[in-house]
Amino acid sequence: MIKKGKLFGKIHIVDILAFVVLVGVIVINVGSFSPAKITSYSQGKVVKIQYEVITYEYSPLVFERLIPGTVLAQDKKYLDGKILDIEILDKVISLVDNNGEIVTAAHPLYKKAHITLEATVLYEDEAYKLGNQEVREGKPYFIITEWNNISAIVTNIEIIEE
Amino acid sequence: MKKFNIIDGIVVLLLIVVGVGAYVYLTKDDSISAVETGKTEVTFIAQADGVLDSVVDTLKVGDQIIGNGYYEDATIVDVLVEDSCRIDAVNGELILVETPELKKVTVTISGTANKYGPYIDLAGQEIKGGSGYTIRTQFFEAGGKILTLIEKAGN
Repeated sequence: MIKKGKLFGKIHIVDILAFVVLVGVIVINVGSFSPAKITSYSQGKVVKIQYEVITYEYSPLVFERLIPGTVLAQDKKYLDGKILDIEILDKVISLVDNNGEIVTAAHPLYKKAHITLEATVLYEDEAYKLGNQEVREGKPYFIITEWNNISAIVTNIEIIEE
Repeated sequence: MKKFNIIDGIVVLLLIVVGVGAYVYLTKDDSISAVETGKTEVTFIAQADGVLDSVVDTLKVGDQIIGNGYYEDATIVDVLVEDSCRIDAVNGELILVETPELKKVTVTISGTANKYGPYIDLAGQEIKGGSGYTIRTQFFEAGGKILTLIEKAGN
């Protein structure tokens, strides 16, 4: 059957192995473009949303460059989104004092911010996606601009345009 | 002349397809606007809190910033050392209590950074207000945060 390294004396065994490897590579790549994934991409639609976030506590100086109109970014590119409004809030904390009473007051060093943003996002896989982040109420969110990278939580989403 | 082998032909064809695919993937423009790259001059304020008081005296104006094993084109132009504070509640009020054994170090750093569109890095660290940042010189290192990016070239 195998004579001089050739199957049936005609096809070289090394060529068969190469062919098998190539078929494997093709099958794996075709899997990446399976109908399920193609359908998923084709179902994505562009939506304009307005959303709000509350940041974690920071030194007030950190918020200095977060001004309305600042464009959102991700890594090395800008995104189709911007800051609409920012309101600096007290970071309220509670401690028990020397008399055993609970004292609730503003943190003397840190503030947080309530920020309203607007963006054109992709709605796909049941999620609103801006760059590599999902915008979902309760989900952690990074407000990234040319000047800042701030951690926040999404508190509200409103669809403006579908 | 040797006869053309069909398997070799398929291999060559697939290599061409893979090569074209790789070229398209690596050169695709997935940005919304053109990205400006190059060097930029930056000045920013970084802060590290809770630093041992015995080590802060090694930090001085003029100290050069250390990157990944080499000096960066960036120096410390201002140093402010204060006592770290903790918060206590006394008689119904919140008060700041200074802790002299721990210091809050605030430095202003000026230098040349790499710019890739909205992304700026110095010694592999992102320079944005709110980002984590390690202040590192030849004799000092402390982890902290960038408070604000004061200015960069053209702004």
